[in-house]
Amino acid sequence: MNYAESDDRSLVQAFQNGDERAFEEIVRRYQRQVANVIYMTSGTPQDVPDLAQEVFLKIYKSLGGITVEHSLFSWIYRIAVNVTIDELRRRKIRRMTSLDFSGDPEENEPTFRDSSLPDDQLVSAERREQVWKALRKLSDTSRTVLLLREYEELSYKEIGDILHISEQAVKSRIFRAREELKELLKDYFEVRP
Amino acid sequence: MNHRDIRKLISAMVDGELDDAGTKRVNEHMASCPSCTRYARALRAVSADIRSVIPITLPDTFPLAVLRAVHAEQAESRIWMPVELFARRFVVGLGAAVVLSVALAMTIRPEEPVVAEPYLTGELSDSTATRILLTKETPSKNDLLLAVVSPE
Ligand SMILES: [Zn+2]
Repeated sequence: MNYAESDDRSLVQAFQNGDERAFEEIVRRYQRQVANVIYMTSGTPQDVPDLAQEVFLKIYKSLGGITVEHSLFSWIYRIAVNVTIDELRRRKIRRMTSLDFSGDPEENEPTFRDSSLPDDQLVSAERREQVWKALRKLSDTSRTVLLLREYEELSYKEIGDILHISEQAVKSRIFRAREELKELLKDYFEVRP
Repeated sequence: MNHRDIRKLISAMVDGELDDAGTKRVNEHMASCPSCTRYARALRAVSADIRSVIPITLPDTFPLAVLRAVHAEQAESRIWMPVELFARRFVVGLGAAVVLSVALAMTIRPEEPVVAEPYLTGELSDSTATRILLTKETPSKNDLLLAVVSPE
């Protein structure tokens, strides 16, 4: 059976009936989002493959016991966010105990979509770099909520489902995250015409 | 409504999450507030910049790699299961043996503390301190002090 056409609910059912190819399709379907939430949360591209694997191993183990009522994507996304935040926390503890600063996120600059463009585009590439650095300085909570909105383009309702909070709380958190950004990007908010 | 309240509405508006009444209120405010107008423009620019970061991609072989990892983990737990069982039996056995030997030692020599025995016979030490202590059946505080400060 070709699962590419199946909806999430049928995939989960097929997996629960013992067909591993259904799981393979789930991985294929969501690996992009999982990779990106890890990347945007941890800031280090070299972390992505291992953490993504950890996320899907966790999913494999828990998938047998779930019923998909709302969105499989929400559930997967939440696992990805949790695994990454746990890893960041572990690292923070390791850094505090070992004074090892080798994992400084600012050393791992991302690439920008059109930074190869010349002259006037260089200015915007520089600006985007500033935005990236500011994002890295946000609290985990603020960064996650903002990235779910900006990067995954999810609605407040969908974000609320993923983070288990109300739409009102999503609205407040996103606003707070932007206020934090505003402090970090003073030029951006004040000098720009 | 102050500027901060308006900015909260602007944040929702930029995300397309503000109702008509809210949008109307924001637009009315912005018509006479350059600061909030600038804020709305900056939010849109930041948003565009965040979205311009190149998404990371995993190879097409990733799903198979995950399945391989799943199977490796399952195989590993199959290998360790009997070992774990053995280890558990071993620990239980060891515990029983310890309890048994302690009980046995207590039965055989109920009054003699096992640890002190070599010292009492003078086999293990002939230091002054030990000698002083060994001469007394119940050493006083002064005896203890003397033992501690006495040179070898
Ligand atoms: Zn204003």
